Amino acid sequence: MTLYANDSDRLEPRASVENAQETEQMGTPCHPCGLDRHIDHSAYTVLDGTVKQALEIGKTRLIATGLVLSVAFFAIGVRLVDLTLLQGKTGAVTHQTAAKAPGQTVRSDITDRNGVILATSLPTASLFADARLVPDAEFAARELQKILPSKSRAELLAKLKSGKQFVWLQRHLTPRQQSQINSLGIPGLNFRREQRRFYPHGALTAHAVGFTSIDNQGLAGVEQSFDEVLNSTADPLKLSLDVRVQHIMAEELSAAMTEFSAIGAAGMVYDVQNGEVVAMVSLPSYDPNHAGSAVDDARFNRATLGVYEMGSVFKLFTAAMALDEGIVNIDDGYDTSDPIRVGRFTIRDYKPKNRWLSIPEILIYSSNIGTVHMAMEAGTSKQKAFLSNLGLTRPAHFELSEIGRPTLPSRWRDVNTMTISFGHGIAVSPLQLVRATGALVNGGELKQASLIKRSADETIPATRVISEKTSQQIRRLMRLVVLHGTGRKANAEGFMVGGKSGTAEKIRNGRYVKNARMSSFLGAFPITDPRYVVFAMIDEPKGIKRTHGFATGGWVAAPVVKRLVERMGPLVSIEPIEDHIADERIDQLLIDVTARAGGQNLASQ
Amino acid sequence: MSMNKLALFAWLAACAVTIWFAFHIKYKVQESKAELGIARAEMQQDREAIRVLEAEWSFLNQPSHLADLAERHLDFAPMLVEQVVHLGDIPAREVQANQVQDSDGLEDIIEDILRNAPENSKQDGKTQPGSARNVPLMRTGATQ
Repeated sequence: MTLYANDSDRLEPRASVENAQETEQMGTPCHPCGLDRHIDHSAYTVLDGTVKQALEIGKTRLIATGLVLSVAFFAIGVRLVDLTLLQGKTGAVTHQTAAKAPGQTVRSDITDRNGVILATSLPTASLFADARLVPDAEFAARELQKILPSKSRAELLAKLKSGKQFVWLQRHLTPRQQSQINSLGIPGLNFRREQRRFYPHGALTAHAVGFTSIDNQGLAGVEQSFDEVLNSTADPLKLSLDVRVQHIMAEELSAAMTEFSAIGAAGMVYDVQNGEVVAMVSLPSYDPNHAGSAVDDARFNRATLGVYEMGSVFKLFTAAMALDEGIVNIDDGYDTSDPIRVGRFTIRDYKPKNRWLSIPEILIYSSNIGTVHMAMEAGTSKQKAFLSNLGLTRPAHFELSEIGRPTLPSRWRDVNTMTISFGHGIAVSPLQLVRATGALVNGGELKQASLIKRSADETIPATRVISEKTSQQIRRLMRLVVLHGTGRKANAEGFMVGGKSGTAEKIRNGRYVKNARMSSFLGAFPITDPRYVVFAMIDEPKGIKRTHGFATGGWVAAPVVKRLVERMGPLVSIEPIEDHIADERIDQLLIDVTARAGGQNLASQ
Repeated sequence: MSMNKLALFAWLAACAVTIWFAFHIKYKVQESKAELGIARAEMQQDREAIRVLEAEWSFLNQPSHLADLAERHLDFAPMLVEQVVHLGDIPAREVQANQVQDSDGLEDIIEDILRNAPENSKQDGKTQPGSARNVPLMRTGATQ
C-alpha cells in the first residue's frame, strides 16, 4: 500500500492526497517503522487492551534499535581487532619507512670504489623574504648588505620592495651569516632549510662526478647521468674510481704539464679484466663546489669528450689486425728504405732506418712506412671492420653524457687507410683508446667500460675481437717497445710495463702544425698478465733542455706512466717481479726474428 | 535486592576503572608520542651531524693533503720495488741463531728477547709522558 501510495504520489500529486484521506478513513496509522502496518486496530483493543499494544510496539522498537546498535558496535569491534591485531605488522613497516623518510629526501652520496665520499649533501639555510611584511626595506637592505657582501644593495632593495610574498635573497648561507641575520630581528625575513651539494675532493674527481645546479639538479658528470637514481635511492652510488690512483695520475700529469709548459693533459687507468675505469683525469680541472666560475676549457673532459688523433699508438691496432688476420707473421717484415708517395702526401719515418724491418722492429722504431705496408696489405675494408670491432668508430658506451664522437674520414680511401694505420686522419677519445687496448692485451675480449663499480659476480658484456695468440704476441711487442724502443722511459722496474708512445701533430685550420703536438703513452702492466691499461696524454708540450728539445710521447708521457705505475703498483697490490726472466724470453723473440731477418735484409739490398 | 546492589556497585567500579585506564593509556600515548617526536628530531640532527662530519673526514683525507702531512711529519718514503720480498726469501738470522744455540726451546728465545727489550720499550713507552715524540702522527692542535 505504501508502495502504491508512493507511486501515485510521484505520478499524480492529487491522487496521493485522496489516498491519504482514504487511509485516514480506514483508520490504519502510517508508522515509520512499518512493522505494525497490518495490525487490526479494533481487534487488539478488544482482546488485550491499548496498554498491551503500546508495550508490544515499544518492545519491537527496542529490538530494532538494539539490533542496529549491536551491528554498529560489532563493526567497530571488528575494525578494532583488524587495526590492532591484523594490521599490526604493516603498521611496523610504515613506521620503518617513516623513520627512513627524512633520509630519502636527501640526494644520496657518491663515493669512490673504497667508499671515500666524493659528493654529499649538507644541510644549509637559505634566506628568503616575504616582502609584504618587511617594514623598512631601505634599512633591511643596508643591514643585509653588510652581512652578504656578494649581493649589491640595489639588488636587495629591489627584492625587498617587490611586494612579493616569496623572494630568495641568498641561497646557502654560512652558519655565521645565518646567526647575524637572525639577530637583526627584521620581520619578514625567514630561513628555509635546504641541502647543498658538497664535493670534498674538489677538482680531483670533478670531471667524473660533475656538479649540480643550486636546486640540486645534476648538470654534468655522474650527477647528471644518474640524477634520478641519486634522488630516489638512499644507498650511495659507488664509482669505479680509486681516489688514490686518481690523485697519483693527476699529480704526475700536472707535474709533466708544468715541466713542459703544456696547455692540458688527460690520463686514464682502465681495468682490462672487468672494464672499470680506475682513474680518469682531465687537466686543467675545476672546483665543482664553484662550478659556475669555471672556464669552459677546464670543464671540458679531455678523457671522454675530447677526440684526438692519437698518432703512433695506433700502430698497435694495425699490427694486431695484420697478425690476427694472418696477413703477416711475427717474423715477417717490410723494406722501409723508400718513403711512400700518395698524391700530394709523402709518408716518411721520423727516424729512418733505411732497411728491412721485422714486425717487432717496425713497432720498436715506430716506422710509419712499415705500418703503412702492413695496413695496405690488409686493405681498407679489413681495417675499417677491425677498428669498428674495437669500438673506435662510434661513440663509446659510457655512464657519462660527455662522450665524444670519433672523427672519421668521410670517404675511407687508400690514403686514409695509410694515415689511419699510424694514427692520423682518425680522432678518438682516450676512453675509446684504453677500452680497445684492453681488448688487445687481455686475451682478446672487448669489455664494456664502466665508471660504476662492478660487483664480483657481475657478467660483463664482452665480445671477442682477436685471438688469444694474437693478444699474447701484441703483449710481447708492447714489452719490446719498452725494452728497446721509444717507450724506454716507461720501464717501471718490476712491474713489466709494455706499451707504445705516440706523438701526433695537431691540426689548425686544416693543416698540421709542427710545434703543436699531442704526446702520449699507452701502456699495460704487468704485461705477462695485464691488469691495467694506462694512458697518459700531454697537450702541446714544449721541448726543454733536459729532453734535448724533444717533446715526443717517449720523452714526455712515458715517464709519467713510469712514475704512475711505480706508485700505484703497491697500492693495488701488484707484486713486483724479477723482470729479467720474463724479459729474456721476450727478448729471445726479437733475437730469433732478427736472426731470420738477416737473410731477408741481404735479399732486399 | 542486596545482590542487585552489589552487582550495581561492581559494575560502577568496573566502569570507573575502565574510564581511568582509558585516560591513562591516552595520556601515556600522548607522552610517548612527544618523546618519539623529540627522539626523531634528535636522530635527524645526529644524522645531519654525521653527514657533515663524514664530509669533513673525506675533505681532510684528500690524498694531496695526506701526502703533504706525511712529507712534513713522517720519515716515510714511497715503497721501492726492492723492499718487497717473499717471506721465504728472507735469510734466517744467523746472529740470533748463534746466541740461542745451546738453549732448547721457544721459552728461551722469548726470555732472551724480553731481556733485551726493556731499555727500548721504556724510551718509547708511555711511562714517561713528559718526553715529546719527535714525530707526531697527526697535526693536531696539541702539537702545534
